[in-house]
Amino acid sequence: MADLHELTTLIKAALPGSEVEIVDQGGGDHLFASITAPQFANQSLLAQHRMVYAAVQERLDDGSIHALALKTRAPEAS
Amino acid sequence: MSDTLTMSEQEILEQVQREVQDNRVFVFMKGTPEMPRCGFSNQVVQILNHLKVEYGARDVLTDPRIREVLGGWSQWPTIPQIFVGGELIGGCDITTELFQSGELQKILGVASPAE
Repeated sequence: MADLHELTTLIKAALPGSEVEIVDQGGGDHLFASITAPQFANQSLLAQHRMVYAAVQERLDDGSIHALALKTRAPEAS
Repeated sequence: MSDTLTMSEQEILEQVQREVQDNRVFVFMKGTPEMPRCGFSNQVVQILNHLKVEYGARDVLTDPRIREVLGGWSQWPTIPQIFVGGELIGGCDITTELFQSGELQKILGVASPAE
C-alpha cells in the first residue's frame, strides 16, 4: 500500500518546482502520476521517467508500489 | 528461446544482451505475445502487432532472475521494456505516448496502418 502523500513529497524533493498529481487507479498500489517539472525540459521521455523512478525507487523496491504509470511534461516555455 | 533455469546470472545477462543485439525490436514482458499476463505488456504487443512490426519477446515470468538481471543492466525498474536497435525505448507509457504522437512509427521506420 503506497502513501500517496509521501510519494508526492519524494518526487517534489527530487524535482524542485515540479507539480505532482498522483491518483490511485486501484488497490492502493497501481498508481498514476502526472508530473510537470522544469528539470524535464529538453529531456527524452526515457530520461524524464528515469528521474521519477529514481525518486521513488525505494517504494518500488519494497513493493508498496506495484505499478506506476507516468505522464511527464516540461512546463510550457514562457 | 533457451531455458534460463540452468543458467548462471552471468549467462542470463549475456543472453539478455544477445537478444537485444540480435533483434531489431525486442520486448521483455510478462507472458508471451500470444498470451500476455499483464495489461501493460499486452498494450505494448498490441501496438507492435498493430504496426505489423516483427519483434522478439522474452517472458520474464519464467525465471525471476531475468527481471533482476535485466533491470540491473537496463537501469529501468519495470516490465515491459521495449528495445529498438539495441537501445531501450522505455516501458508501456512511453511506447504508448510515442505511438500516439507518431514518433514510434518514425523510430521503427513504419507507416501507421490506414484506419
